[in-house]
Amino acid sequence: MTKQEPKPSYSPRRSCRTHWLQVYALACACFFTSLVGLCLAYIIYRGSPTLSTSLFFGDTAPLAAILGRQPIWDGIWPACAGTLSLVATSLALAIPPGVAAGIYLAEFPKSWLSRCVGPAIDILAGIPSILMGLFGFTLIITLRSLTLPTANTSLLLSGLCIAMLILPYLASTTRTALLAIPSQLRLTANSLGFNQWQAIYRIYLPRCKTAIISGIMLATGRAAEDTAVIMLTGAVANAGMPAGLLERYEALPFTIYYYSSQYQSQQELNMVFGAALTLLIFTTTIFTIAGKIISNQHDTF
Amino acid sequence: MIHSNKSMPANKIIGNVSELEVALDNKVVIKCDQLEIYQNKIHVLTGPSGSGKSTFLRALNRLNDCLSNARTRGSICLQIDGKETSIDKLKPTQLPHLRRKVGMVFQSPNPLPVSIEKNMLLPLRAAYKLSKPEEQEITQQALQLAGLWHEVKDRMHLAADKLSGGQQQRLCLARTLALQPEILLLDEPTASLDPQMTEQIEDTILQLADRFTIVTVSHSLAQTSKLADFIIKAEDGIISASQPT
Repeated sequence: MTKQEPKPSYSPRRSCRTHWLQVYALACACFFTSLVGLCLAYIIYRGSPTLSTSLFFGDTAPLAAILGRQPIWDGIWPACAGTLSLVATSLALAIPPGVAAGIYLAEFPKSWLSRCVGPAIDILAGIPSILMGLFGFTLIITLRSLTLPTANTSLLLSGLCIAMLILPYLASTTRTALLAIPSQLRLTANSLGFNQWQAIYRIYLPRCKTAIISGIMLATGRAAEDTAVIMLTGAVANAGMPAGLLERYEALPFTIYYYSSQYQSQQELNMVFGAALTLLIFTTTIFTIAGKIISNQHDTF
Repeated sequence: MIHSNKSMPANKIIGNVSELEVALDNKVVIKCDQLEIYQNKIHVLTGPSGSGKSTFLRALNRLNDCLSNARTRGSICLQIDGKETSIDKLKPTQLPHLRRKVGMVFQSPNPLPVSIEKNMLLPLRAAYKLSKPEEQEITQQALQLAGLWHEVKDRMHLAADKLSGGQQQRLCLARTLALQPEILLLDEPTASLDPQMTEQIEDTILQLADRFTIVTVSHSLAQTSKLADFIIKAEDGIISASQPT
């Protein structure tokens, strides 16, 4: 570092400053790590004793509950299943347009459409989720008054709003990954007679697979944890197992919110911590899998 | 399957460049008033670094179009698929076919980051609809032409970047040959190789001239005198006409 420089006149002062910066950075790193540790430790401390079949299924027999033969009271399994269905619905709605928009932005950066879509996606990324929820809610009200009097908040509507929330993640990770393709590889692809779409499909996208999958994982985490959107668009406290795209459903984050704000017994509060720990395990698993995929794939296809 | 030309009259002209001008960032970097390319001959493009040799080569298959800062003017006429083709008038959708027919091998080996087999098959499948046995046959022939078949036939699934530099370069050559080109553009194909490898590649080039028209860039006098049927001099961006050796 500065020691090797042949200018001793100012190097001591600079190294002193560097030293304080180092101490400050270290302190911040320790502070944030301990904050996260504290938070996790508390959730695990309160949540782990509640982890049991009765947390998930209440008094119902687990197998019958999973197969949907018997309704579940006082268990968070319907919420788990609801969150899974919500994540699946929103990913199914968001991945195709998100990845495609990313491809368009990266491959046709000069078209007028790209110049509009780029900022539009940035704005979409900045929209607070509660507004997205309001949008869905308003959409249903409008639909009811105009064409579909039977329209109601549902899993599909939540999935749609969440899809809009996570679409920017998918578009921007795809776009960034494609833009990072070395120009030499592009020249090679062109020299070998690939047309643009062949090159994208056969060379660039396979090369970006890792980045795109990690974008999908990030989006999954976001879709699983969002509460503001779903409380306005279809999540309810007692719906049982998700019955269909047009039905209301339960979801883990909403269960946590609902019971923590109006619990009536110690048992309900414990259930909140159990649900929080479950959600934490779910998202951690997703991120761990994403990490594994990324470390296993390198840059080959 | 690989294209071959037999008993052609001597020095048949199959390419004509006139009034060519390529500008990078609005600065003219090469000019070429008049230049002929002769069938099944080796044209060696010589000149100091930065004299526009690679840019000239890339003009011949319009690869300069891929550089956003390049502008090309003038006319280049090449005989492709037996037809006179004004390549400066081709539509963007026709460029992939042009680049298969006027194949290019770069200065440093640039295998795709996949297996040896995929390196051969990906461009081939993008270009032609072929059955599995046909693909295998073309791949084998091209690798044999490039003198690589015996070294890789038992490890086609190996990652291409695990090969040595010389092998990678011959893989790139084979990959280009598999696309059934008529003209080969070689941009200093031996620049990054040791003397032994260089000699192998030079011998390969000499053999290939029986089947293809070759335009190659070379820095070395020895290589030029060994390979050249025609010499094209490049100096300060001025590309002069082909001179027979």
